[in-house]
Parts: sequence; structure tokens; C-alpha cells
Amino acid sequence: MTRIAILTPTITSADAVSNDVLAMERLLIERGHQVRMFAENANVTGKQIQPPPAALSYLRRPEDVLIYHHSIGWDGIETVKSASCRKIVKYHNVTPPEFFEGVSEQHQSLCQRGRSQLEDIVQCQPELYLAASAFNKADLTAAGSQEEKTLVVAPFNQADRLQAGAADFEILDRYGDCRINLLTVGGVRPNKGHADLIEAFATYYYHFNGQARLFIVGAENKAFAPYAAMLRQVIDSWSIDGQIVFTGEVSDEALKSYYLLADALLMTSEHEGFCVPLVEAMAMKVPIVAYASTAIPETVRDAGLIWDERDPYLMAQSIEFLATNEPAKMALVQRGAQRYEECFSNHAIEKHFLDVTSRAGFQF
Amino acid sequence: METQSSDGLDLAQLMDQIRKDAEKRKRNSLKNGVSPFYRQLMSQGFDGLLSQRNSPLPDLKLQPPLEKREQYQLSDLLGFHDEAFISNAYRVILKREPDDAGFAQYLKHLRSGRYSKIDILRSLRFSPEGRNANVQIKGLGRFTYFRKLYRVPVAGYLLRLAVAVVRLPVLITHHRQLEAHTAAQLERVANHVNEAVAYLAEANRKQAEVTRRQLDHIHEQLRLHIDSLINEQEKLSSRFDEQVHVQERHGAELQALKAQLEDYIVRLQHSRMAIAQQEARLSHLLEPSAKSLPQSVLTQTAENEEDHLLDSLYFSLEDVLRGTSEQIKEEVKVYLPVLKNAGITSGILDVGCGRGEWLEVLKEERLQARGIDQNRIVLQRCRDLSLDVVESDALTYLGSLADESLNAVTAFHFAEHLELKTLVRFLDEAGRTLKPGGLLILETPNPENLVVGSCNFYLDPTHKNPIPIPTMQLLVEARGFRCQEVMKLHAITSTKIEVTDQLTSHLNHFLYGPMNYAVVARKPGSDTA
Repeated sequence: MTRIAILTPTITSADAVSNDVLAMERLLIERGHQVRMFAENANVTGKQIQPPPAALSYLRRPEDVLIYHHSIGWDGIETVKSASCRKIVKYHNVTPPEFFEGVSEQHQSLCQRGRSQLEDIVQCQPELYLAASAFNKADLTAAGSQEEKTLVVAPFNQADRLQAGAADFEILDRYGDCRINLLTVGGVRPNKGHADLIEAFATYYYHFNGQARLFIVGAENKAFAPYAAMLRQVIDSWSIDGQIVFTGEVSDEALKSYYLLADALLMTSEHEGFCVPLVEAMAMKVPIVAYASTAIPETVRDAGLIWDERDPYLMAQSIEFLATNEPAKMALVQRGAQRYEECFSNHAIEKHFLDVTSRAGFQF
Repeated sequence: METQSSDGLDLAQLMDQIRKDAEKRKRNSLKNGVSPFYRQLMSQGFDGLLSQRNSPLPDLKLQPPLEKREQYQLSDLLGFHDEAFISNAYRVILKREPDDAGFAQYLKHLRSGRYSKIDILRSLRFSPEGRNANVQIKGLGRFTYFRKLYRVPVAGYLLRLAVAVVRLPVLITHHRQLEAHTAAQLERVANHVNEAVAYLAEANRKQAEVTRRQLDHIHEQLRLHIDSLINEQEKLSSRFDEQVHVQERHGAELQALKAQLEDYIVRLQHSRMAIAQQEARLSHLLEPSAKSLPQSVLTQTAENEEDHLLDSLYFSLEDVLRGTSEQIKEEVKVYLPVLKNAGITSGILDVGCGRGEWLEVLKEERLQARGIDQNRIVLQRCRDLSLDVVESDALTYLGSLADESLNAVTAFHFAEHLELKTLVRFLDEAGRTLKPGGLLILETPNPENLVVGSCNFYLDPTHKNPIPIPTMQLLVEARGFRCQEVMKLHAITSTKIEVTDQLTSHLNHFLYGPMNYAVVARKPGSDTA
């Protein structure tokens, strides 16, 4: 039995990093280890989460393990520096600060700090770095991590819960008409490329199908209000405000309903360290159309239509193709489902995680 | 990029096609007219958009900002008015922004004239929070003594009056200053409004110019599209005329073909009649030659061949008489549980197997069975389906089998084709070849249903006599079988008369009751085959 501390800035619901943290905790407890979680902010029920400094008194022995999840700049890094046990760093990537320029100074500085802290992390000399994608791995090696200690392990996710859980029937009833329903999932943040998404949707709406609808599913943060205001201005300029639904943060049941309704998942994000919604779409058998930015092509591979150019006509034509070509759509969806089962189901990730950590000398 | 893979999807080719289609769509689109604002927005970028919210006109500020100092004079604060005065008083004395309640209360007192500015400054400075902050404001203490005296009844009033009289020249000077200040502020407001109006008018003019140019552009685009649509329409119209000509030509050809077809049908009828006559002649020829041949050859060849003359006729009748193969397959599945309960998995003989529906069902269930029939056409169909079948008549085939060599004999719509004597011989042979406990299933039309008994039975010209249920039971038991069950099958449910009394119930039974029945019997002996 190993004593393990998992350290992360925030643990909350509907958040990809938190889902990874919670699944990792569950797995390690199931395998008989003593696990505690440490975070500055926590908003989940039924979990005991302690403040970061408490981790130091918990990790007394050199053989104890600290797993630190890095996704933004914060003071918790001091705990990693001070701990004298074995360390694993899971890197989820940090959004480049430029995206928040003119939107949120606070986020701009947090992200700036988060990126510069990569070098501090390398100074701590962890035994193992886990990158959520090869794209993230490149950041770590650029900051000085050793190639052989830096390995790719996809984040645990809640796609299996989506598959098994109930749907929200009210949403299915409300939107289950003959219209083409398009979907994007992810917080309304400036790196998500919503303006491109809206332009692509408008192109499809005006040139292909005037009966289309777009769901933008994801929490809206007050800190990004200028960005949200800009999006609404863009929507107004296209005169398509009646065709776009901002759902805000939704329950698991509602999320399932949106996936069930969707004819395609559109992803126009400009920066993703992994992009969990793509995995959810593959699991829920929704075809993917996306722009090939950052980690997106690596996550989808050949299971979706991924475009190098950010051209709204390519997006719109892809949607039209999927809407009118059922056999090819089914073949793509089938590829996605297979990719999910082989690489991104929690079972597959669990196997990979245990394999990678055991090769690095951690007996989980 | 992945190319052709196991699922047959060539992603590279598919994306190439989408790209070409998208290019085509883009060329033909009216995109440049859809949202000029959006293009403008995008060309300015996000930063441009955010900065757009700030007008080039500076905000109008009627009071100067509070300068930060180590120590404040009373006059530093008295120079502010209204909201700015209260906010700055809080900032200087309490070193914080005003709370909503305090701000509202002081503003109310100030505007009503109940408190002077000095009253408010004193109230803040000598509040517990102000004492704690302990900010020194030069000149504020000077008035403290006087203010205290003001509160003495009568004398206080007189003192205030005296002070007011003494200060009258100063107050008049203040009043003039205030008047000049107010006029100056009003002038600044007027100037600012004028500048704003001029700016808006200019912006409006520019926007109108942009919009006009955009409208011209859209108009031009639309004109081009309309021209191309007219062209397209003309082309389509001439193609339509061509198509009409082609249609007319095809129509004439079709008429000619129709006449030809009718001719062929007539010639086919003639050929059929000629074949029938040939068959009749052949049977006449076979008859005398049979007499000159030895007995063995007679049975093997001539007689047999004569029997097969009607094979094709009966095959084509079967669809009409019994139903399609799919229907029959569904219907005979009712016997699977009977076999299962008897524990029979092999040694099944289906006599008169016809198109082999029952053999197909048995094969699907992995039960080993063989069929016999005399109709070569149905036998060929069975062989095409890889079913185990033998061309033979029932009695000859059963005669060739050893005693107690079968587990089950089934015969669907077979018994009604036999003379009584032959039926009895068939039952005897089945009894001999079945193992003790072996199963016999005989399905036949049910004459209890009056429509079957009086009409449908005779649709098949090869049927001999209908066999009522008690007769069949009697025959089977008389030849040594133990009757286990009579299954009444295929009642008509769709067109029943609504039951209102006993008569309609009887009528339903006789008109819409089961059209077929099956006798399930066992050879005495062990209960399992």
C-alpha cells in the first residue's frame, strides 16, 4: 500500500481536469492505496479535500507519492517544491495568455504564470511526467523534462457515465424535431474559437439548410463577459440569434440529451491540450467535424473530418455531407466508437496508466 | 492521412470531394453580400472590436480628480460637489470607497441642505471609524468649537445669526463664485454636447456611405446572379424541349414493344397448348410401348415419367394453394416444441416435403432430417438449398427402411392426396419404421371449417377426400398409434363476426375456425425416441 496525495488547484463538477483527478483517486483506492486529495478550491459533494499545505505533513516518507495536476498558474507549486517524496506531474496544458488579452487580465496573468511555472516543475525533478497528449508532451520537453520520463496518458473522462446514464427527456422532447442539430461542448472561453464556429454555422444555415440549429453547451464565466458580449454581437450581425442556443452549464442528463440530438459535433477551438468533448462524441456515436488545431487532430485521428484550413465553407460542406450521406456517416461514427473503446474508454486509459507508471517504478 | 481501410471508407478521397464541393459552393455564393458588418468585424480583429466600444470623444468630467497628498486642507475637499464630494470625503477620511447605504444617506442630506459639506466631513472624521483612521485635515478643527456652541439653545441660534451677518460679504463672494462656476460648467457641457453631435453626425454619414457602397455591391451581385439564372433557365428550357421530343420517341417505341409483347403472349399460349397436346400424345405412345416392355422397366421408367408430367403445374399451384415459402416456414415452426418435448434431434423423415420449408426450419435448428417427394421441381429447389432430399414415393421409400430406424415421421398436407387403402398402408409402414415412442405428425385441411370443407379443399385438383378430425384419429389409433394431441391451426382472426349470442359464436366457429389441423401420435413403447 502506497500513501498517495493528489494535488490540483480546483476540484469541481463538469471540469475535465477534475474528472481526471477524481477517476485517478477512485482507481488508486480500488487498488488498495491510501489516497488523499488536496486543492485550493473544491466544489464536489462527498469528498474530503484538504488545503495544499496539509499535503506536506501527510507525505512524510520518501516512498510516498505526490501526483500533481498542472493546468494553470498558482501557489500550490510551492508544495510540490517542498515535498521530499516521489513525484508524478500530470500536465493538462495551460491556455496561452494571449487569448485573454482585453478579456480578463486576471486570467491572462494566471495563464502567464502557469506557463512559466513549467520550468519550476522541471526543477522539482519529478520521477515521471504524464502528458495528456503528444502536443502537451512537446511543452514539457521544451521546458526541459527528460524525453524518457515524459509519457503520454490520456485523461480519464466521464464518457462511460454518459453512455450508461439517463437522458433529460424534456430536452429531447423540446428539440427532437426534424431540424439538423449541431453541437459544440466546452466552456465559453476566448480560446474556443466560437466566432469561427458561428461563421461556419451561419454559412451552413444560409447556404445549405435554413432548418439548422446550434447548441453551445458549456458554462459561461462572468470573468469572460466581454468575450460573451462579442459573440452575441457576431450572432446579431448574422441575424441567426433564433437558431443558436447557449445552454450554460448543464447536468449529465442534459449533456447526454444534447449528444443524442446532435447530427454532428463541431469543434473550432484554437487551443486544446486534449479535448474531452471529442472523446464523448466518439463514445456517443456523434460524427466530428473540426479544425485541426493543437491536440485535436491527434485525439480524433481518422475518426472525423478534420480540416487544416479554418474555412467556414469546408465546415458547412462537411455538415451537409454527413446529413446527406448516411453510410459514410455511419462508417465515421463506427471508427470513432472503435477508437473510443481501444484508446479512450476509462478501462483502456486505466490499463495504459498502470502500465506507464509501473514502467517508471511505481507499483500502483 | 488514412487511405482506404477495412470499413471501405477512403477518408482522403472523401475529404477531397468535400473540399471541391465547398470551393464550388463558395464560388457560387452570395457571401460578400451576406454580412458586410461581419467582414468588417473580422478584418478589424477582436482587439478592434473591443476598442470600438470607446468613442474618440473624451468622457466629459465636470470635476477634477482627487489628487493624492500626504495631508489635506479643508479647501481640497470643499472644492468638490455632490457625489464626487461624498466619494472623495470617504476616500480621504476613511481611506475606502463609500458603502451604498452611507453614500445614499449623505447625498440625500447634502442635496436637501440639511447638512453642509463641513457637517459631513466632521461626521465622517469623528465617527468611530474616522477616529481609528485618524486622518488630519487642516482647518476642520477650527470650526469644531463654533459648531458646539451652535447647539446651545437660543444662544446657539443667535450665534449662528451673528456669524451669518458677519460672514455675509464672504457668502456673497462665494455665491458669485458659484454662479460663475456654474455658468462655466454649463458652457463646457454645451460644448461637449455639440462636439458629440458633430461626431455622431460624421460617423453616421460615414456609415451611410459604407452601407450605400455595400448595397451597391449586393445589388451588382444580385444582378449578376439574376443574369446567370436567366441564362440557366434558357438552357434548361431548351433541354426540356429536347427531353419532350425524346419522351415522345420513347412513347412510340414503347407502343411498338407493347404490341410485340402481346404477340409473344399469344404465341406463348399457342406453344402451351402444343406442349399439352404433345404430352397427351406421349402418354398414348407410352401406354402401348409399356405393354411390350418387361414389368420392371415399366415401373421404373414409363410410369414414373408419366407421373412427372404435372410436376411444373403443381409447383406453380403451390404458391397459390398453400402460400409463400416464408409464410409456410413461419407456420411449421409450431411443431418445433413438439419435437423438443419428445427429445428428438435426428432421424426425422418429412414425407411429401414439397419446397422444403419444414426441412429448412429443422436445419436452422440443427436437427437432422431428410425429405422425400416425387416432384422433381421442388426437389431441385430443396437441393439448391442444400437440404437432404430423395426422389421417391412414400411407400417405396419407407419400404426400403429397416424396422425401428426413424424417430419421427412428419407429413404435412399429404394424407388428403391418398386413397384410403394407400393411407392405411402408409400408416402401417410408418408404424414399422418408427422406433418405440417415435412421433407421427400429420397435418391436413380441417373440413370442420365450412369454407375449407366445401370449397378451399377442392382448389387443389390432386386432393382426394377431406378427412374430418375424428376419422383421422380413428385411423391413426386403429393402426396401432397412441393419439397424443390434436392441434387446431390457422383460424381466421381478421374478419370474425362480432359475437352477440350463441348463433354468432357457432357461425364464427364454422366459418372462421381453424383451417388446418394436425394429429400428433406416438408409437407405443418407450416415451422418448
